[in-house]
Amino acid sequence: MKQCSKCGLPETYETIEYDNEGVCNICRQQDYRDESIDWDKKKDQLDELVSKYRGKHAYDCIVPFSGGKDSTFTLNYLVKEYGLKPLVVQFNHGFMRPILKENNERTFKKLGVDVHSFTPNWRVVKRLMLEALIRKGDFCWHCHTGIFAYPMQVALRYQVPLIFWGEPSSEYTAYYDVRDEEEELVDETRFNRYVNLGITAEDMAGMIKSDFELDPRDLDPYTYPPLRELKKLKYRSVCLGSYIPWDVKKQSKLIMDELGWKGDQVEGMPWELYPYEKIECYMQGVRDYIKYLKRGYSRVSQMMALDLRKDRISKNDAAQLVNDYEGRRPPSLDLFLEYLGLTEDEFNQIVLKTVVPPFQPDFDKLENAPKTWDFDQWFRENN
Amino acid sequence: MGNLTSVSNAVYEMGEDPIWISNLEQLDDVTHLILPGVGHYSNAFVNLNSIGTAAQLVQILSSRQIPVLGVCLGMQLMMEDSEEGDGKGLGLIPGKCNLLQGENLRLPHVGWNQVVVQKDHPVLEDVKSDRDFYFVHSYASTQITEPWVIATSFHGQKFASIIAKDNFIGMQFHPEKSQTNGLRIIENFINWDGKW
Repeated sequence: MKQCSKCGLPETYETIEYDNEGVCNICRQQDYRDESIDWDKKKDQLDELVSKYRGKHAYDCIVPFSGGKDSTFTLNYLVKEYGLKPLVVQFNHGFMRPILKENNERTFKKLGVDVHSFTPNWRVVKRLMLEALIRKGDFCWHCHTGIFAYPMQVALRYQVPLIFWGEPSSEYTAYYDVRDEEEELVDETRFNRYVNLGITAEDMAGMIKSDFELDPRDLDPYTYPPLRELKKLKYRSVCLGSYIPWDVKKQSKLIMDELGWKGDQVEGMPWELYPYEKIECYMQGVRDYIKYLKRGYSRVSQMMALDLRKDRISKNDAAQLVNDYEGRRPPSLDLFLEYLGLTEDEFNQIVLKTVVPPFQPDFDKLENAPKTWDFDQWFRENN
Repeated sequence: MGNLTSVSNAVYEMGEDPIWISNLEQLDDVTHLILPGVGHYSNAFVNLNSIGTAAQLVQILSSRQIPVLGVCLGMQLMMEDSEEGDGKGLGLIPGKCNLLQGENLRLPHVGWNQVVVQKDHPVLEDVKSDRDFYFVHSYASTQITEPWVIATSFHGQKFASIIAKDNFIGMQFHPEKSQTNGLRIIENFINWDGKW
């Protein structure tokens, strides 16, 4: 497969394009971000934004929160840098891990914040996962739509117009290009552009109602609220990373030092090197595994890309790590198959239909990834 | 006029509650006025006159200083007059309209075309120059009368696609049919206090 000459991301990576020098558009927009954006001016804009909304509503802002490094950093920054009173909104996707829960409790208590937590119906979640897997080879529809739609509903319920997300998607993809000088607003346009995989909650209801006893209200948590209601609220839904330069490595260290935030082992990742990445979901290993089967790379390559761009790793070392860790079958796949009532062969057949050429997976050559320390604590359908 | 519902829907989506007015007294209830319009200059003028006399309307709009947006024919009605028919415009913004000219020029000018911003205006906040907007018209203001021209476009010849004076702004294209940038313009207009 063709790869970026700088960061190594392959041609199956979403939104990727290469220029004459073989460098990808995501590297190029990172260069622009680092060299051409006036971050002092951006910080002034952030000051202005915060002062415009401070003290005027039930809360100064909503902070959608998974407990991963990015949302934890965002919350920490807003509380400490600006002394804001946020409402933290947590959408529980169903796979929160023990260390993550401890982290969350510690973060909330140390920072002193109000928290609104929501967990959707597990029976519905399972059906949504199956449908999204079959149609798109991506079972995370319930989480991604819920994470982005539900906090907007909470913003309306509490009439809080300012919503702070963390990392902009332009750190990883080119759905938004920082070179356009178009602010990445976290709105319904973005939701429909890629978050919901082209499937709205209404579409989803139509897809599953024939074989699932669906209450019409079951999909409310995944439904983006009407634009008119948000406009009436005069909402502003922005990424903190549009105003300050995002650096996951530095920020992870900062929350570890200031909040005692802990990293974790993640299936398929080099545990010692990247303890901070994607620790919030125990289905992360399955997500990455599917990504590998479809596109020939996984989270390891993405972490290498970030570090190669910042010259934090040599190309040889990066290639070695990819070789050692990528494409291993995660132990969590057994749980996933139990939840969805699929055999592994059925799973493979579904995923095969969504493979992105020119990659072709070879199921015979796959090795197993090791179990993480908390594997035995994860929910089993049959216990 | 043909685009009333589209304009009304766009305003509604932006969180406001549009009303359609049919007499001058109702003007007391509005904070912003939009003159939409697809149709014939003379007919539109007759319609306007059925609401009240043009002179009364001009007097109210100028004295109350409420922001007024003219769309397409609505923009042309804000000007002094047009070759199309024999009605007079309201004369809120200087200028007049004539049939677009050009060799083998296809009329009406229908579809997406570039709008080149010449001058800042609060209603264009966060809208970049050279973006495409949706047009449907045959007549336009081709005598570019400074300083009222905010943006220009080209179809056979250069014409004014946005004009503004005081609390009045007119657009030859249809913001209500122009997707994200068009809705941004409508939202900016709703939030505009009529000053710049």
